[in-house]
Amino acid sequence: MSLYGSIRLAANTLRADQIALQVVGQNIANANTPGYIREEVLLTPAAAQRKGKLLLGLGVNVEAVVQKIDHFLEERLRGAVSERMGAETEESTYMQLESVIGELSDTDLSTAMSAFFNSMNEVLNQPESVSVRNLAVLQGVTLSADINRLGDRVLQMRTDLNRRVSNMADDINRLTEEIRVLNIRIANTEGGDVSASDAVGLRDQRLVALERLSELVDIRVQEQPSGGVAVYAGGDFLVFEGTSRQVEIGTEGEDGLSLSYVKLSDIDARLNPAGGELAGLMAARDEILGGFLDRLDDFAGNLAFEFNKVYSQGQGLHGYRQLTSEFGASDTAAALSDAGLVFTPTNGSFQVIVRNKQTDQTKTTDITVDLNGIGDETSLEDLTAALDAVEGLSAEVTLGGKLALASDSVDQEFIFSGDTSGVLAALGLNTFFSGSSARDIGVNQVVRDDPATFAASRGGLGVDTDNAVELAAFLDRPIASRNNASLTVLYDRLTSETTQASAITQAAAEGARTFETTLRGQKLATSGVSLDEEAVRMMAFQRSFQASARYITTLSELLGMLVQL
Amino acid sequence: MGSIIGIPTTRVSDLFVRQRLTSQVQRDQLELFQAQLQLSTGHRFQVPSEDADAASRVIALQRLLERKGQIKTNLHTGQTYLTATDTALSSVSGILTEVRAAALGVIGNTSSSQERDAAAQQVQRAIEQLLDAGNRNFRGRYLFAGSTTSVRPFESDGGNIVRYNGNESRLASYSDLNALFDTSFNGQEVFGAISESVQGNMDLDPVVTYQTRLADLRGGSGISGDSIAVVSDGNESIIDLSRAETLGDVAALIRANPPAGKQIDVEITHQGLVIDLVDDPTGTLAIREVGRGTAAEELGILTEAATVDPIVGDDLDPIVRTTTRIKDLLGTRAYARLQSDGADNDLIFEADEVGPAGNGIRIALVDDGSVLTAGTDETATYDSVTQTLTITVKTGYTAAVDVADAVNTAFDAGTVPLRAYIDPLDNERGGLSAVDVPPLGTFAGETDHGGGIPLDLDSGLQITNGGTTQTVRFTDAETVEDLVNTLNMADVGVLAEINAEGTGINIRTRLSGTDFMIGENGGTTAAQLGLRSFTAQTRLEDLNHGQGVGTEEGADFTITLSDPALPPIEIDVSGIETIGELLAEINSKDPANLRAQLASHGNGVELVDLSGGPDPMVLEPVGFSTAAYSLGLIPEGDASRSVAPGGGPLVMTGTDVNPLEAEGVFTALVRLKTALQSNDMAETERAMAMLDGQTTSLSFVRAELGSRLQTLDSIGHRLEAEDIDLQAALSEDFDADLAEVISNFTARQIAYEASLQSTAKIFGMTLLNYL
Repeated sequence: MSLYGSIRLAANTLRADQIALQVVGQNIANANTPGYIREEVLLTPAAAQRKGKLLLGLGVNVEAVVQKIDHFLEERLRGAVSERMGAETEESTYMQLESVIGELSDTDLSTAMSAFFNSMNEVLNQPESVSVRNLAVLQGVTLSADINRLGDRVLQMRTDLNRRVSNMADDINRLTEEIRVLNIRIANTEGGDVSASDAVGLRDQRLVALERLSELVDIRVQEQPSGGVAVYAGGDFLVFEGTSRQVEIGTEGEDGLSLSYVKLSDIDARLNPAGGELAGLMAARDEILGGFLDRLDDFAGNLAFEFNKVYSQGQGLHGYRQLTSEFGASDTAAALSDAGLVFTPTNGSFQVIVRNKQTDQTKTTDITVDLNGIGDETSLEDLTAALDAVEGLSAEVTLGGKLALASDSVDQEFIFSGDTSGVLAALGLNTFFSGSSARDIGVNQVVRDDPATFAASRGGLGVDTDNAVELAAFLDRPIASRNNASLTVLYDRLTSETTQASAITQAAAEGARTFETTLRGQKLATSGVSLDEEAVRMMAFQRSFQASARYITTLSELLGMLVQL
Repeated sequence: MGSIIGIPTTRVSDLFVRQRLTSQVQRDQLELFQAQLQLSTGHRFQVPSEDADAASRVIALQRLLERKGQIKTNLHTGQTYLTATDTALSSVSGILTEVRAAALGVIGNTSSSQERDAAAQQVQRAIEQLLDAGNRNFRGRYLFAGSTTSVRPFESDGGNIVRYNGNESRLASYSDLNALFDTSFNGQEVFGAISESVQGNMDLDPVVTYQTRLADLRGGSGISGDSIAVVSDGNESIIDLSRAETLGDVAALIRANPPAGKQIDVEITHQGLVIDLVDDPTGTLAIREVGRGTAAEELGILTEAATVDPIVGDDLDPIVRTTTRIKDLLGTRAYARLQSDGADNDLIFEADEVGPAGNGIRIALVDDGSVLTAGTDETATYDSVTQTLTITVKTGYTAAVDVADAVNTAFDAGTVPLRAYIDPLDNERGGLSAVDVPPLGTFAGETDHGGGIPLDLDSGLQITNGGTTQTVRFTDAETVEDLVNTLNMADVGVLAEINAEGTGINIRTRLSGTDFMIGENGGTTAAQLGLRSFTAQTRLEDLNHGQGVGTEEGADFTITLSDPALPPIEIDVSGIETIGELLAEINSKDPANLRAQLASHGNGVELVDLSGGPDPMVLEPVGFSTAAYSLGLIPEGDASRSVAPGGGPLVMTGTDVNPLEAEGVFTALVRLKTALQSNDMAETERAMAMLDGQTTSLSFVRAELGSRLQTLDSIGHRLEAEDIDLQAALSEDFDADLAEVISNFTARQIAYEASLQSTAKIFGMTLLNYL
């Protein structure tokens, strides 16, 4: 070992310290950069040199500059991010849904429902007043408009979510492309196994991109020997080394909506993520909002049909000159229970009463609705024929399978009574509500145009208020087709299911947030920059540098002495 | 409260410190804002999911409060109407008391006719005042019109007759979620504006048919059970009747679900069901209940012990409905079933009128080669001598519907006495299957089961009401509703309706202050409908508005027949209680020459002299007996009555002395007025008694009204208390506890400030300061 050798050793040390200080500088510079993984210089003692019997060290060797990262933790963090994004998407949907429903306020559906049934009480209080009947009709209009509005708003939310799903493919494609490109660049930069150092900056960028992708869909990431990563979503890979697969939006029709989903372009297979924003959006769109809309439709349909079943038993202050059913049968020759009606009538009968307005003479006819499942069943055509045979009444099936009734002269009017089959409500004759779902429920135009036809009586035209007594108590009346649940119970079920699910989702989202934050803390504990730590390191390398410089000075002096000999 | 997030144990990086401090500041701010929101809204939570359980209670409580609010409105409105009713009733009471006092003042022999006239005028004024009170309108509602509140209830003809146009219902509102209270009284309750019924005392006894609703069976009690078990030779079939609407459904369901290996035939007779096994004379059949059900018993077919005989069900006794056909009343129409093998070809032949006349008609299906084209060439002819209905058919081609068409065409032409239709239990496509043709010389069936007498629609009733007598005929009536309509629309001031038991029709008068009678019009209509107001059951003590029949000891009147050879017949009325007994008494005297009966036109006792002599028939009172007068046989003021001989038997018809009336305030006052005017003491006393009765019942009405108002008051108080409880419960769940929120807010504020300070401190500390 010569002095020159020692000087080279010291020079190596100076170079190593400079490199280490540069890494410290890099860490300090990125102390606040999100996603930055702190770096560390790996210093190793240089190999020994045999000098006679001696083995002498050759100083320090800079082995590599590596990122301080826990890959297992990163994978778990990405999973937590996916879970949190999915849960938060559902959480925010529930929050919006709750505010749209607006329970607890004075403008919610239950208030409109109370107001409507309160107006039935008012009809009982003042049966002679047409204006009170008109008010009941208007309250019905308000209630149905509130249901329409709720349905529309939720539908609008659903459409918005659908649009967000539609935009998701581009985001995913952009990120997978970015990861693919970074894979190539990292492999090129690191040169495979040739260098032990990490491609600083590129890997950080890729980690950020992977995390961003995990926000959208839950992914599994596998690092390859080349330094590239393979990204899997479900069982399908999205990125593998230098290749990526494109996704695109497919659509399917449901309830008049064109629902989007994300699919792999090359094999036309649906991407079914279990976590991430996409999964959250689809669950929110289909299960939360779709489910709510289904339940709301069911509620509105029940309200309309069951209320109408009671209402259609009654008579107003005057009868009908003509009337056309709201609903049509798609098959007019088939049994009414199988004729494609929205609501299904059952075996039973009703009465139609034709009244001469001049003489007050009435003619009651029993109409049997034979749907006992044996032999000849009543079809719309049979029903029409039976009604047409009633003296003073004409009946025909119009286009669209509707039943049109008209009295034979201006002096005659007709009313209905005692329907045990529900056929009047199913066809939409002498009904209060029209429509069958949240979107189309309304108040029958006949009673809107002429509130005097509001059917408060059961004993004939304007005779009593027995039907109004039933209608006013309808809110608590057990509905046989709904396991004897009342309308109140059905409504409470509708709202409480949303509330409970919302509370559960909020708890789940909070859990996911906590978990993610904990993991992120752990990540930052490993990969985050501590300025104090860097300051310590800086001082250490500074001192080392000073010592090495001093060592060189000493060697230089020694060399000078040798030169002066 | 937010979640607790752990701190990593290894090292702390600057970014971690920054992120944790930022999120802590955000969390503190969020919680501060939440506390602020609770303070500003006063509510513990803003959306239900913040406290789902409490929210569901809050929603229920809010709804209850909204509905209880309406109940309070109901009570208030009801109280308003009842108070107005009370005001009207108190004036009625006042008027009645005044009238009573005025009338009492002139009763007795000492009053002069001027005084009585003055009293009568006061009564007249009272009638007018009461009309005014009866027609009291409050907030657009006639208070005493029953439930037809827009109809002016009382109408005077300007004379002595007051007509009531309202009904007997009350209006009701909800006084709680499931409790109704009446908010009105009707004119009948208050003024006695409708008479007692002329009760249809004859059960019209409609037959059951395929279409008879189960709810109408058993006098309207219906069928409560859901299923029955049909057992045959060890095999059981449970038949679910829950969806059955009519008796036809029950029969069809039993037929369609026989026990394994069996076929069951069900026939709907006029009474009920007959159930038998098809072509299995040794097979046994039993019909039992399922579990604790009652359907089999209610359907009258419960047969615990298995039997080889057909099970003949009990009479199912359906009620009379508006749509009940008159041809289904008062008897049964003869019929015969023609059953052919296979489905869709059984026929029922039926007579058009009830009665035994249609029995024993034999039905022959004959293939004599005359039918070339099935469906067009079939003919139906009737031989009244042999009582045979012959239908020509083409074996194997003529369908059941072709037979029915041929028979019905001939029936419409009046050449055969029966109609035919496809048995609804076998009807699948309208009777398109071919009928079986029996061997030549044998008959396919014979009619039976006809009985009863058809209702006499053409004769009609004589109704006397409001001083006029009208004949009401039902010639074109087809249903009970037509009968009721004809009566209600005839301008005789009566109210006809199906009685509450559903057995027949009741008729009452809507007119006060006048006599009301229903009699025959030469036929049997009134008797068949049970609507005569003067019958064999009428009690003598009830005659002449309850004044009865005055008798003396010994004979009360004598009847001298036209045959001078016959001795006068003496009749003693004492001991006789009913008109029927009186008729029997007279008829027992000389049945060959004298017959007593109820008048064939109108009402009254009718005496028929069958002796055929040259003299007049004479009826004279004996001594001071007034019996002949009070029985309506001799007009008031006449000493005797005679009928001059003419062609045929001599007929002496008495007048109807059993007039009915609407026992009420107006009748009492009108009667009082006329009695005062005519100085009729007996009638004055009767009217006064009626008035007293009405005053008493009016005081009952007022008592009920008072108690109803009191009840409403107490319900109102209870509602107020309930309201407070509900508000308290709501507040408990929904309202923020201000003390708690404010202390939370303060605690949070302090924590926030501490957090800000520590943040600043942590950021201030760095090793770099010491370099």
